[in-house]
Amino acid sequence: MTAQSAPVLEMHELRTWFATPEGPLRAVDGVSLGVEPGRCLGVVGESGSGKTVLLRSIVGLLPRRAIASTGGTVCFEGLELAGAPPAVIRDVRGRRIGMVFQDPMTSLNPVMRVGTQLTDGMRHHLGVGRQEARRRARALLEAVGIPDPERRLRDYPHQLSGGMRQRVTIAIALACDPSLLLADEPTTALDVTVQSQILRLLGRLRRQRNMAVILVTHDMGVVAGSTDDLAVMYAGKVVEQGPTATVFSATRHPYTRALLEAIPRADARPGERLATIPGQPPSLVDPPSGCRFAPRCPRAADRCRAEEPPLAGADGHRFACWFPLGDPEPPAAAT
Amino acid sequence: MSQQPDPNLLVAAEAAPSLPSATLSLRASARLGPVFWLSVGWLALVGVLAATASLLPLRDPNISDFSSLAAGPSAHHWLGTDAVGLDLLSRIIYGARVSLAVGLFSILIGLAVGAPLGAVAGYFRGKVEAALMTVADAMLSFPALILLLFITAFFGKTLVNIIIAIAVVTVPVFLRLARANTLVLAQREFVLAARSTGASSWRVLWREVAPNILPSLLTFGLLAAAVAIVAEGALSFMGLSVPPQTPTWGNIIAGGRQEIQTDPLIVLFPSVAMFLTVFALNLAGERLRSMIDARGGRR
Repeated sequence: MTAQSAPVLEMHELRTWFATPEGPLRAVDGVSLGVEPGRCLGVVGESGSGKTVLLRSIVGLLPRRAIASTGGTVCFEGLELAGAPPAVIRDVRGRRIGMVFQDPMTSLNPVMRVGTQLTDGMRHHLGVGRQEARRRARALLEAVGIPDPERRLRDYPHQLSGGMRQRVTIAIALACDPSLLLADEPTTALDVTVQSQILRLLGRLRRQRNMAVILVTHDMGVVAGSTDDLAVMYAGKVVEQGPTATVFSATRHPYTRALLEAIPRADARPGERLATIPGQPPSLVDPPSGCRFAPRCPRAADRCRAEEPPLAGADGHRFACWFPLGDPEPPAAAT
Repeated sequence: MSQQPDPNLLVAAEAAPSLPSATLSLRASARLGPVFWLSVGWLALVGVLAATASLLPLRDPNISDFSSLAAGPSAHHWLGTDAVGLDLLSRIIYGARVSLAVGLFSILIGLAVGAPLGAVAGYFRGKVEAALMTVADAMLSFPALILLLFITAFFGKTLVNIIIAIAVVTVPVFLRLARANTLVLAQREFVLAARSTGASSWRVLWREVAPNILPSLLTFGLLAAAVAIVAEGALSFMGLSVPPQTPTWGNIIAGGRQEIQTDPLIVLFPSVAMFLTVFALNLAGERLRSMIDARGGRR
């Protein structure tokens, strides 16, 4: 299933460095990923691992003056987006790539009616008339599971609940029938029951429309149930990637395992300590030489601190580790 | 899945009516309180009188009644007459035309010029912002009265010039306010969301930023209008506003100040008219401002 169809989006060695007074901050530092039509790629990592910046780099939604340097390629349906003129990227945004953001409470304009926000993009990109846009907006709201769409079109965002608003933002993202949807923590601001509804909705829409989805989240529980492929990011780099099931069942990178162990379990005994990862993510201005996870890694050896491991592996499952899990312990493992 | 009743939606349907509306709905108007509506009532009254002055059965504000000089209120002259027998009620109502015209148009011009420039400065940042803010700061640090004197002295003491002069003074104020509001708004996620749908910068400014900064700018406009009316009054009092045959509150007060010990009412009536108008603008503006702040605080 994996290599059947050509990827909708393919990033190669994508790099986004921000300018800071201390020097360039390597928010995204050489990431190569791709996603095929109808499939969902999950990108996980803790806060500051560069996953949101990665997503925004794809569509050039970063403050231009903050960027120190960029590099790599982003090939979207045969179109090179990295370094493309703003007008070209603007035409892709909203029409061929939709985006959903983290907090539906703030991602809708508070003083515009839902209907206006929903029809704006269609009228702008597709040039459809007011009546036709209105008709499509109703159909979209129905598609995202909002009852009584006619009434909701006339509502202001504050008249809707969080879950409803997120459905509206999804409808807006889908308005021009994009072939790729970028979802940046779409369920983080929602409570758990609504989370699963939204995830199921995204899954259903993806299959119906044969749309590719990149789902960024810090929640391993979210990626487990709703993604086909998974990329684990740490300090601006991908440390492990592969089919979600494989990454979960045959975890090779110590960081991925640490993330999996940090998932709170409902069957934990009261007072049981939550597994955490000691230490803090490294500075992205002055990252450690060698493996960036080495300072926090229980298996780190001298080689890890000196040489950076390449992202390598077989059968689509790749990992950047000198001493991956499942291999014998490193010779000088300090535990 | 979509056929099943979504518990989330039911909650939303119940919760919606209790949320305050972004528009001035009936409930919102009730919350503004009686003081606000009294203020608006006074402003409306002054506005209607000023607009319809020539249709009202008023005496000509420039024709003296020599049978009653500096007389107190009477059936003929409801608010009395000044030292040369001019009807005070008529002069005050005609004078309201100047004050209101100055208050309204100078602020509208200041807003129309300052707000877009401020929004552009706050949204695009960089060199554009630096240049605009330097000019605005220079204008703010220039003494307003000197600037007003300069403009009226060079271009003539007509109503239009007075309005333009005061508008010039308010432009940098609106510019700064619009920029500050835009700086905050530009960081909000819905601006990013709009850009993610392919909206250009100008479209974002017009559709996302403008409607969100306008309420606070208009509210501030009410307060600024009060200041503009006082400024025109001061210019008028010094004889630097429109020529004296056009009555203004300022020149009625100036004309009555010789008789202030014998006939204080001549000065009192126009002063009260100006005080109430300025006070009403301040009260209404302040009330709206606190309501917008409360809404912003709730996010």
